[in-house]
Amino acid sequence: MSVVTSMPYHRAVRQVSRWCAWYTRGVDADTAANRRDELASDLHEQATWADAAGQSPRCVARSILGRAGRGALADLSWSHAQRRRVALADPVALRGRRIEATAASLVLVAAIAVFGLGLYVLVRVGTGVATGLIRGGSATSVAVLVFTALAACGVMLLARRKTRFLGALWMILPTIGVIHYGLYQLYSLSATVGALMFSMPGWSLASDALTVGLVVYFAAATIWWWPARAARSARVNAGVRV
Amino acid sequence: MARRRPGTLFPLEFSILDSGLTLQAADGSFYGFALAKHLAGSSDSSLTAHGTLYKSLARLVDLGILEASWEAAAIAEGEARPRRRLYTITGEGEQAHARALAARVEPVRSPTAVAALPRIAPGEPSLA
Repeated sequence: MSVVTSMPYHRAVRQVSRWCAWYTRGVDADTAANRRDELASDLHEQATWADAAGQSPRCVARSILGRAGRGALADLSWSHAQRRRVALADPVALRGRRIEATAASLVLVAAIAVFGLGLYVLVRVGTGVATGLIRGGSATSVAVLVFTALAACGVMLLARRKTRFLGALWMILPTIGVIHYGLYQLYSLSATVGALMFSMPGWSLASDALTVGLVVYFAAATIWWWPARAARSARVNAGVRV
Repeated sequence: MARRRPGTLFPLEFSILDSGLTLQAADGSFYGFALAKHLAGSSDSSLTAHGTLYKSLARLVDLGILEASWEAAAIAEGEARPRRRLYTITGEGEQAHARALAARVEPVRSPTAVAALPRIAPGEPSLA
């Protein structure tokens, strides 16, 4: 059987092409097209040569995937250099991307902190139930569990660029729930929180301020990343560059 | 990552120029896979990785050591295969290769380099 028409070869080509499409995203269009075409030529030449040399399709597929794997770091470093070159040619867009990346990181950190608080409370609940300090399955602990699970979904949505605005919107509800029910649950589990609640006159105000602050923060991020607004901003940036 | 000293070639770049000069002498130019095959010699087990090869070729083009152009579409269509990206070594590339070749031989000939080599007095245990 000819290597060029074999399934293993075509599977390997598909995988390498997918990898190439991934690492050439964000690279200058001509440079990316050159790399993709050059790689397509290389893969075809290897198959033709392997056919003439009497190699098996599986052996060729292995060799192609091996070459792709061994060169992955070089691909990434080339891709990074190319993207940097594009960015340096357009400092306004570069600054915009940096601000965007910083904002995304800060919102993600806030969401992870909310999730972390929920997880911490759940661990304390688990320990409390195990040691007989509290009874399991209380409405508060179930609420903390539900809101922590919602926070985990929010973190996952925030981690992807396409669903970032939805993640920010989503995080509003678990933020309220985790802080409210979490602190309430900690009151019966943590001596420190119990002492703070009694001794600190502004405790309630502080926890409410934290909740409101985070809700406003996530709401602002939602508006910032709202698809229609983001698209308009991208069009304006493109107009500035022209 | 290894940093380049100005005016020096990485070992792979030197090998690319070395093989490229041979292929260019035979065919007038060379392309990626032909180069990978030549670099590997007779065995296919060590064909240069795609990323490593094309990154080096792109770097050499940027440095003006190679020139790249796409093969005429008619030729590729005639042979029912994708177009090849053809490379030729520039005058500057030939000079860089000659300099790198001389630098490889030079340290052995240079008296300062010979003096810098570790010496083992007769009768002392060998380092081997």
